[in-house]
Amino acid sequence: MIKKNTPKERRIILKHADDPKYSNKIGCYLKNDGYSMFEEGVEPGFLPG
Amino acid sequence: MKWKFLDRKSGKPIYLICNADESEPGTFKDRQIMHKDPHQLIEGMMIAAYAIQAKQAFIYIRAEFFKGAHILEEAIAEAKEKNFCGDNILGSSYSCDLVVHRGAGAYICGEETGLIESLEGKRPNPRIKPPYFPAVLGLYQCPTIVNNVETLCNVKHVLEIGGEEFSKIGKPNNTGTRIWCVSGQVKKPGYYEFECGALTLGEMIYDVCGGLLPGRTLKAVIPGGSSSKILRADERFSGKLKDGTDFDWGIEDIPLDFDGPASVGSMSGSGGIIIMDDTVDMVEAMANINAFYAHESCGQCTPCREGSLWMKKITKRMCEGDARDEDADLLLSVANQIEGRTICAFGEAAAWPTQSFIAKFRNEFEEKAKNGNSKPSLQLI
Repeated sequence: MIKKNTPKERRIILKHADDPKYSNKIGCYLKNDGYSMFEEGVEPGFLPG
Repeated sequence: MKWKFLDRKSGKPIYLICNADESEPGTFKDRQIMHKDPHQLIEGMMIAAYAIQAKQAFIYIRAEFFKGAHILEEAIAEAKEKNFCGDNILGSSYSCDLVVHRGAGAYICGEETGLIESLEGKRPNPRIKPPYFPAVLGLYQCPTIVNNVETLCNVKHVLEIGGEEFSKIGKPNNTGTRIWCVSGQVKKPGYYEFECGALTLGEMIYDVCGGLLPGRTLKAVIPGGSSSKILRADERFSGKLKDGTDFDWGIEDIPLDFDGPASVGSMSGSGGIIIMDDTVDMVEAMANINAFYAHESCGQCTPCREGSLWMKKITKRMCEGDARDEDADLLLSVANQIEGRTICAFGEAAAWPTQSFIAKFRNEFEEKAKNGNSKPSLQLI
Protein backbone atom coordinates (compact mmCIF):
# COMPACT_ATOMS: atom_id res chain seq x y z
CA MET A 1 0.00 0.00 0.00
CA ILE A 2 2.96 2.34 0.61
CA LYS A 3 3.46 4.55 -2.42
CA LYS A 4 6.89 5.73 -3.47
CA ASN A 5 5.68 9.18 -4.45
CA THR A 6 4.04 10.15 -1.18
CA PRO A 7 5.38 13.60 -0.24
CA LYS A 8 7.96 13.73 2.49
CA GLU A 9 7.47 15.73 5.64
CA ARG A 10 8.62 19.33 5.44
CA ARG A 11 9.58 20.20 8.97
CA ILE A 12 9.88 23.91 9.60
CA ILE A 13 8.45 24.29 13.10
CA LEU A 14 9.33 20.74 14.10
CA LYS A 15 12.75 20.89 12.46
CA HIS A 16 14.59 19.92 15.65
CA ALA A 17 11.76 18.20 17.49
CA ASP A 18 13.07 14.65 17.21
CA ASP A 19 16.79 15.37 17.05
CA PRO A 20 18.35 13.62 20.06
CA LYS A 21 21.31 16.02 19.95
CA TYR A 22 19.08 19.10 20.16
CA SER A 23 18.21 20.41 23.61
CA ASN A 24 15.67 22.99 24.74
CA LYS A 25 18.40 25.17 26.28
CA ILE A 26 19.25 28.60 24.89
CA GLY A 27 22.84 27.63 24.06
CA CYS A 28 21.63 25.01 21.63
CA TYR A 29 19.09 27.41 20.13
CA LEU A 30 21.70 30.11 19.62
CA LYS A 31 24.07 27.64 17.95
CA ASN A 32 21.30 27.00 15.41
CA ASP A 33 20.89 30.69 14.50
CA GLY A 34 18.30 31.20 17.19
CA TYR A 35 17.16 34.77 17.92
CA SER A 36 18.94 36.00 14.78
CA MET A 37 15.66 37.13 13.22
CA PHE A 38 14.67 38.92 16.39
CA GLU A 39 18.06 40.63 16.58
CA GLU A 40 17.57 41.85 13.02
CA GLY A 41 13.99 42.76 13.83
CA VAL A 42 14.75 45.19 16.62
CA GLU A 43 16.89 47.24 14.23
CA PRO A 44 14.93 50.47 13.69
CA GLY A 45 12.71 50.39 10.64
CA PHE A 46 12.92 46.62 10.03
CA LEU A 47 9.45 45.89 11.30
CA PRO A 48 6.35 48.06 11.22
CA GLY A 49 6.16 49.24 14.77
CA MET B 1 -4.89 38.72 9.85
CA LYS B 2 -5.66 39.49 13.50
CA TRP B 3 -2.80 41.96 13.62
CA LYS B 4 -4.50 44.10 10.95
CA PHE B 5 -7.51 44.61 13.23
CA LEU B 6 -5.41 45.80 16.16
CA ASP B 7 -6.49 49.18 17.48
CA ARG B 8 -3.13 50.97 17.56
CA LYS B 9 -4.59 54.41 18.10
CA SER B 10 -6.46 53.87 21.36
CA GLY B 11 -3.55 55.03 23.51
CA LYS B 12 -4.11 51.99 25.72
CA PRO B 13 -1.44 49.36 26.39
CA ILE B 14 -1.28 46.59 23.79
CA TYR B 15 -0.99 42.99 24.93
CA LEU B 16 0.16 39.81 23.23
CA ILE B 17 -1.09 36.43 24.42
CA CYS B 18 0.04 33.02 23.26
CA ASN B 19 -2.84 30.56 23.52
CA ALA B 20 -1.08 27.43 24.73
CA ASP B 21 -4.22 25.95 26.28
CA GLU B 22 -4.04 22.93 23.98
CA SER B 23 -7.02 20.81 25.01
CA GLU B 24 -8.87 19.70 21.89
CA PRO B 25 -9.14 15.91 22.08
CA GLY B 26 -6.85 14.38 19.47
CA THR B 27 -4.40 17.30 19.43
CA PHE B 28 -0.87 17.18 20.82
CA LYS B 29 1.44 19.43 18.81
CA ASP B 30 1.87 22.51 21.00
CA ARG B 31 3.13 20.39 23.86
CA GLN B 32 5.86 18.96 21.62
CA ILE B 33 6.94 22.43 20.50
CA MET B 34 7.03 23.81 24.04
CA HIS B 35 8.91 20.82 25.40
CA LYS B 36 11.43 20.47 22.62
CA ASP B 37 11.95 23.96 21.20
CA PRO B 38 10.64 26.57 23.65
CA HIS B 39 12.96 29.31 22.39
CA GLN B 40 11.42 29.08 18.94
CA LEU B 41 8.12 30.09 20.50
CA ILE B 42 9.73 32.81 22.61
CA GLU B 43 11.53 34.30 19.61
CA GLY B 44 8.31 34.26 17.58
CA MET B 45 6.50 35.96 20.43
CA MET B 46 9.14 38.64 20.87
CA ILE B 47 9.09 39.45 17.14
CA ALA B 48 5.29 39.60 17.26
CA ALA B 49 5.33 41.71 20.42
CA TYR B 50 7.77 44.14 18.83
CA ALA B 51 5.70 44.34 15.64
CA ILE B 52 2.56 45.28 17.54
CA GLN B 53 4.52 47.25 20.17
CA ALA B 54 3.24 45.20 23.08
CA LYS B 55 5.03 45.86 26.35
CA GLN B 56 3.61 42.82 28.09
CA ALA B 57 3.20 39.33 26.68
CA PHE B 58 1.73 36.18 28.22
CA ILE B 59 1.92 32.49 27.49
CA TYR B 60 -1.37 31.08 28.75
CA ILE B 61 -0.59 27.40 29.19
CA ARG B 62 -2.93 24.54 29.93
CA ALA B 63 -2.91 23.67 33.64
CA GLU B 64 -2.09 20.03 33.04
CA PHE B 65 1.14 20.94 31.22
CA PHE B 66 3.25 21.04 34.39
CA LYS B 67 6.45 20.14 32.61
CA GLY B 68 5.77 22.48 29.70
CA ALA B 69 5.22 25.42 32.06
CA HIS B 70 8.44 24.62 33.89
CA ILE B 71 10.42 24.36 30.62
CA LEU B 72 9.00 27.67 29.39
CA GLU B 73 9.75 29.46 32.65
CA GLU B 74 13.35 28.26 32.50
CA ALA B 75 13.62 29.28 28.84
CA ILE B 76 12.22 32.74 29.55
CA ALA B 77 14.75 33.18 32.37
CA GLU B 78 17.52 32.25 29.92
CA ALA B 79 16.16 34.68 27.31
CA LYS B 80 15.98 37.46 29.93
CA GLU B 81 19.55 36.81 30.94
CA LYS B 82 20.60 37.26 27.32
CA ASN B 83 18.40 40.38 27.12
CA PHE B 84 16.05 38.96 24.44
CA CYS B 85 13.14 40.04 26.62
CA GLY B 86 12.69 42.31 29.60
CA ASP B 87 13.94 45.90 29.79
CA ASN B 88 15.78 47.68 26.96
CA ILE B 89 15.96 44.59 24.82
CA LEU B 90 19.34 44.17 23.09
CA GLY B 91 20.24 47.72 24.06
CA SER B 92 17.25 49.22 22.28
CA SER B 93 14.56 51.47 23.76
CA TYR B 94 12.07 48.62 23.48
CA SER B 95 11.02 46.74 26.62
CA CYS B 96 8.63 43.81 26.88
CA ASP B 97 8.10 41.38 29.70
CA LEU B 98 7.01 37.83 29.02
CA VAL B 99 5.39 35.63 31.64
CA VAL B 100 3.88 32.17 31.79
CA HIS B 101 0.36 32.01 33.18
CA ARG B 102 -1.00 28.59 34.04
CA GLY B 103 -4.67 27.87 33.52
CA ALA B 104 -6.78 25.93 35.97
CA GLY B 105 -7.93 23.00 33.89
CA ALA B 106 -10.77 24.28 31.71
CA TYR B 107 -11.07 23.53 27.98
CA ILE B 108 -13.06 26.73 27.47
CA CYS B 109 -9.93 28.77 28.20
CA GLY B 110 -8.80 27.81 24.70
CA GLU B 111 -11.55 30.16 23.47
CA GLU B 112 -9.74 33.47 23.27
CA THR B 113 -12.20 35.63 25.19
CA GLY B 114 -12.62 32.94 27.86
CA LEU B 115 -8.85 32.85 28.09
CA ILE B 116 -8.75 36.63 28.58
CA GLU B 117 -11.37 36.45 31.34
CA SER B 118 -9.31 33.75 33.05
CA LEU B 119 -6.14 35.79 32.70
CA GLU B 120 -7.97 38.65 34.39
CA GLY B 121 -8.62 36.31 37.31
CA LYS B 122 -12.25 35.65 36.58
CA ARG B 123 -14.37 32.63 35.66
CA PRO B 124 -13.61 31.98 31.97
CA ASN B 125 -17.01 32.84 30.53
CA PRO B 126 -16.49 33.78 26.87
CA ARG B 127 -17.44 37.31 25.87
CA ILE B 128 -19.92 38.34 23.20
CA LYS B 129 -18.44 39.34 19.83
CA PRO B 130 -19.15 42.11 18.94
CA PRO B 131 -18.14 44.21 20.78
CA TYR B 132 -15.45 42.17 22.51
CA PHE B 133 -13.08 41.43 19.67
CA PRO B 134 -9.76 41.10 21.49
CA ALA B 135 -7.88 43.20 18.92
CA VAL B 136 -10.01 46.13 20.07
CA LEU B 137 -11.36 45.23 23.52
CA GLY B 138 -9.23 42.45 24.92
CA LEU B 139 -7.28 42.02 28.15
CA TYR B 140 -8.34 44.72 30.63
CA GLN B 141 -10.40 46.18 27.75
CA CYS B 142 -7.18 46.99 25.89
CA PRO B 143 -6.16 45.95 22.36
CA THR B 144 -4.90 42.36 22.54
CA ILE B 145 -3.61 39.85 20.06
CA VAL B 146 -4.24 36.20 20.89
CA ASN B 147 -2.37 33.76 18.66
CA ASN B 148 -1.73 30.07 19.04
CA VAL B 149 1.64 28.36 19.48
CA GLU B 150 1.96 27.21 15.86
CA THR B 151 1.17 30.68 14.48
CA LEU B 152 3.67 32.43 16.73
CA CYS B 153 6.40 29.92 15.89
CA ASN B 154 5.72 30.61 12.21
CA VAL B 155 6.40 34.35 12.68
CA LYS B 156 10.13 33.72 12.94
CA HIS B 157 10.12 31.53 9.82
CA VAL B 158 8.05 33.98 7.77
CA LEU B 159 10.71 36.61 8.48
CA GLU B 160 13.55 34.19 7.85
CA ILE B 161 12.21 32.84 4.55
CA GLY B 162 10.53 36.08 3.49
CA GLY B 163 6.78 36.61 3.15
CA GLU B 164 6.69 36.03 -0.58
CA GLU B 165 8.71 32.82 -0.45
CA PHE B 166 6.78 31.57 2.58
CA SER B 167 3.51 32.06 0.71
CA LYS B 168 4.80 29.66 -1.95
CA ILE B 169 4.90 26.84 0.61
CA GLY B 170 1.73 24.81 0.32
CA LYS B 171 -1.06 25.78 -2.06
CA PRO B 172 -2.77 29.10 -2.85
CA ASN B 173 -5.04 30.07 0.08
CA ASN B 174 -3.59 27.13 2.02
CA THR B 175 -0.06 28.36 2.59
CA GLY B 176 2.66 27.26 4.97
CA THR B 177 3.01 23.95 6.71
CA ARG B 178 0.55 22.27 9.00
CA ILE B 179 1.26 19.96 11.90
CA TRP B 180 -1.15 17.03 11.92
CA CYS B 181 -1.62 14.93 15.03
CA VAL B 182 -2.74 11.43 14.11
CA SER B 183 -4.27 9.19 16.76
CA GLY B 184 -6.49 6.13 16.80
CA GLN B 185 -6.06 2.76 15.16
CA VAL B 186 -3.09 3.24 12.86
CA LYS B 187 0.31 1.58 13.12
CA LYS B 188 2.30 4.79 13.52
CA PRO B 189 0.27 7.50 15.26
CA GLY B 190 2.13 10.73 15.94
CA TYR B 191 2.70 14.31 14.84
CA TYR B 192 3.70 15.08 11.28
CA GLU B 193 4.47 18.41 9.61
CA PHE B 194 3.66 18.72 5.91
CA GLU B 195 3.17 21.51 3.45
CA CYS B 196 -0.51 22.40 3.35
CA GLY B 197 -2.27 20.26 0.77
CA ALA B 198 0.84 18.20 0.02
CA LEU B 199 -0.84 14.92 0.74
CA THR B 200 -4.26 13.34 1.02
CA LEU B 201 -5.92 11.77 4.02
CA GLY B 202 -5.37 8.34 2.45
CA GLU B 203 -1.64 8.99 2.04
CA MET B 204 -1.48 10.10 5.65
CA ILE B 205 -3.23 6.98 6.93
CA TYR B 206 -1.69 4.32 4.72
CA ASP B 207 1.73 5.67 3.78
CA VAL B 208 2.82 8.05 6.54
CA CYS B 209 1.15 6.27 9.46
CA GLY B 210 1.75 2.77 8.15
CA GLY B 211 -1.88 1.86 7.63
CA LEU B 212 -4.44 0.28 9.89
CA LEU B 213 -3.78 -2.45 12.42
CA PRO B 214 -3.67 -5.97 10.92
CA GLY B 215 -7.02 -7.32 9.81
CA ARG B 216 -8.88 -4.09 10.36
CA THR B 217 -10.78 -1.90 7.90
CA LEU B 218 -11.29 1.84 8.03
CA LYS B 219 -14.65 2.87 9.42
CA ALA B 220 -14.48 6.62 10.00
CA VAL B 221 -12.21 9.61 10.46
CA ILE B 222 -12.58 12.73 12.58
CA PRO B 223 -10.31 15.09 10.64
CA GLY B 224 -9.76 18.12 12.90
CA GLY B 225 -10.12 17.33 16.58
CA SER B 226 -13.21 16.03 18.34
CA SER B 227 -15.24 19.15 17.49
CA SER B 228 -15.09 18.49 13.77
CA LYS B 229 -17.72 16.45 11.99
CA ILE B 230 -17.00 12.78 11.49
CA LEU B 231 -16.57 11.32 7.99
CA ARG B 232 -17.58 7.80 6.96
CA ALA B 233 -14.97 5.71 5.23
CA ASP B 234 -17.37 4.58 2.49
CA GLU B 235 -18.75 8.02 1.65
CA ARG B 236 -18.30 9.85 -1.67
CA PHE B 237 -18.01 13.58 -1.54
CA SER B 238 -18.68 15.79 -4.52
CA GLY B 239 -19.09 19.49 -5.11
CA LYS B 240 -17.14 22.57 -6.09
CA LEU B 241 -14.00 23.89 -4.50
CA LYS B 242 -13.60 27.59 -3.70
CA ASP B 243 -11.90 28.15 -7.05
CA GLY B 244 -14.84 26.59 -8.89
CA THR B 245 -13.15 23.25 -9.62
CA ASP B 246 -15.41 20.21 -9.40
CA PHE B 247 -14.38 17.42 -7.07
CA ASP B 248 -15.53 13.86 -6.52
CA TRP B 249 -13.59 12.27 -3.68
CA GLY B 250 -13.58 9.22 -1.52
CA ILE B 251 -12.38 9.75 2.04
CA GLU B 252 -8.82 8.84 1.06
CA ASP B 253 -8.72 11.56 -1.63
CA ILE B 254 -9.41 14.48 0.73
CA PRO B 255 -6.46 16.90 0.61
CA LEU B 256 -4.97 17.73 3.99
CA ASP B 257 -5.16 21.50 4.01
CA PHE B 258 -7.63 24.05 5.33
CA ASP B 259 -10.11 23.77 2.45
CA GLY B 260 -10.15 19.99 1.88
CA PRO B 261 -11.97 18.84 5.03
CA ALA B 262 -14.20 21.95 4.86
CA SER B 263 -15.24 21.05 1.30
CA VAL B 264 -16.64 17.73 2.52
CA GLY B 265 -18.63 19.25 5.37
CA SER B 266 -16.11 19.00 8.18
CA MET B 267 -13.03 21.06 9.04
CA SER B 268 -9.30 20.73 9.58
CA GLY B 269 -9.77 22.45 12.95
CA SER B 270 -6.95 21.77 15.36
CA GLY B 271 -5.24 19.30 13.01
CA GLY B 272 -6.11 16.34 15.24
CA ILE B 273 -6.92 13.41 12.93
CA ILE B 274 -8.66 10.57 14.78
CA ILE B 275 -8.73 7.27 12.88
CA MET B 276 -11.44 4.74 13.71
CA ASP B 277 -11.47 1.18 12.43
CA ASP B 278 -14.23 -1.43 12.28
CA THR B 279 -13.83 -2.35 15.96
CA VAL B 280 -15.12 1.04 17.13
CA ASP B 281 -18.65 1.19 18.54
CA MET B 282 -19.91 4.58 17.36
CA VAL B 283 -22.35 4.98 20.23
CA GLU B 284 -19.53 4.43 22.71
CA ALA B 285 -17.32 6.89 20.83
CA MET B 286 -20.16 9.41 20.86
CA ALA B 287 -20.71 8.86 24.58
CA ASN B 288 -17.04 9.51 25.22
CA ILE B 289 -17.10 12.78 23.27
CA ASN B 290 -20.36 13.89 24.88
CA ALA B 291 -18.96 13.23 28.37
CA PHE B 292 -16.08 15.54 27.53
CA TYR B 293 -18.24 18.42 26.31
CA ALA B 294 -20.69 18.14 29.20
CA HIS B 295 -17.79 18.34 31.62
CA GLU B 296 -16.17 21.29 29.84
CA SER B 297 -19.19 23.53 29.13
CA CYS B 298 -18.70 26.75 31.09
CA GLY B 299 -22.42 26.85 31.81
CA GLN B 300 -22.97 30.44 30.75
CA CYS B 301 -25.43 29.67 27.92
CA THR B 302 -28.43 27.50 28.76
CA PRO B 303 -28.60 25.55 25.45
CA CYS B 304 -24.99 24.46 25.82
CA ARG B 305 -25.00 23.84 29.57
CA GLU B 306 -28.23 21.82 29.54
CA GLY B 307 -27.89 20.35 26.05
CA SER B 308 -24.39 18.98 26.49
CA LEU B 309 -25.44 17.40 29.78
CA TRP B 310 -28.51 15.76 28.23
CA MET B 311 -26.51 14.45 25.30
CA LYS B 312 -24.08 12.92 27.76
CA LYS B 313 -26.88 11.37 29.80
CA ILE B 314 -28.59 9.90 26.76
CA THR B 315 -25.47 8.33 25.24
CA LYS B 316 -24.32 7.08 28.65
CA ARG B 317 -27.69 5.42 29.15
CA MET B 318 -27.50 3.90 25.68
CA CYS B 319 -24.13 2.37 26.48
CA GLU B 320 -25.35 1.02 29.80
CA GLY B 321 -28.05 -1.09 28.21
CA ASP B 322 -31.01 1.28 28.28
CA ALA B 323 -31.16 2.54 24.71
CA ARG B 324 -34.54 3.56 23.36
CA ASP B 325 -35.92 3.65 19.82
CA GLU B 326 -36.27 7.42 19.87
CA ASP B 327 -32.75 8.15 21.14
CA ALA B 328 -31.19 9.03 17.78
CA ASP B 329 -33.89 11.60 17.06
CA LEU B 330 -33.76 12.88 20.62
CA LEU B 331 -29.99 13.40 20.44
CA LEU B 332 -30.32 15.17 17.13
CA SER B 333 -33.05 17.41 18.48
CA VAL B 334 -30.93 18.43 21.47
CA ALA B 335 -27.86 19.08 19.29
CA ASN B 336 -29.88 21.17 16.83
CA GLN B 337 -31.09 23.35 19.68
CA ILE B 338 -27.53 24.10 20.79
CA GLU B 339 -26.01 25.02 17.42
CA GLY B 340 -26.12 28.76 16.76
CA ARG B 341 -27.62 29.60 20.13
CA THR B 342 -24.54 30.21 22.25
CA ILE B 343 -22.12 33.06 22.88
CA CYS B 344 -19.06 31.15 21.76
CA ALA B 345 -18.25 28.33 19.35
CA PHE B 346 -18.30 25.73 22.12
CA GLY B 347 -21.98 25.23 21.31
CA GLU B 348 -21.11 24.15 17.77
CA ALA B 349 -18.16 22.12 19.06
CA ALA B 350 -20.54 20.16 21.27
CA ALA B 351 -23.36 19.87 18.71
CA TRP B 352 -21.46 18.99 15.52
CA PRO B 353 -20.13 15.61 16.70
CA THR B 354 -23.62 14.46 17.69
CA GLN B 355 -25.20 15.79 14.50
CA SER B 356 -22.63 14.10 12.32
CA PHE B 357 -22.50 10.80 14.24
CA ILE B 358 -26.28 10.49 13.93
CA ALA B 359 -26.25 11.53 10.27
CA LYS B 360 -23.49 9.08 9.36
CA PHE B 361 -24.10 6.19 11.77
CA ARG B 362 -27.81 6.35 12.62
CA ASN B 363 -28.07 2.60 12.09
CA GLU B 364 -25.74 1.91 15.03
CA PHE B 365 -27.77 4.12 17.34
CA GLU B 366 -30.96 2.37 16.29
CA GLU B 367 -29.34 -1.06 16.57
CA LYS B 368 -28.37 -0.23 20.14
CA ALA B 369 -32.04 0.13 21.00
CA LYS B 370 -33.00 -3.09 19.22
CA ASN B 371 -30.15 -5.36 20.28
CA GLY B 372 -27.99 -3.73 22.83
CA ASN B 373 -30.25 -3.55 25.86
CA SER B 374 -29.44 -6.99 27.15
CA LYS B 375 -25.73 -6.30 27.35
CA PRO B 376 -24.33 -3.04 28.66
CA SER B 377 -21.40 -2.26 26.39
CA LEU B 378 -19.51 0.34 28.35
CA GLN B 379 -19.45 1.70 31.85
CA LEU B 380 -18.98 5.46 31.67
CA ILE B 381 -18.27 7.85 34.47
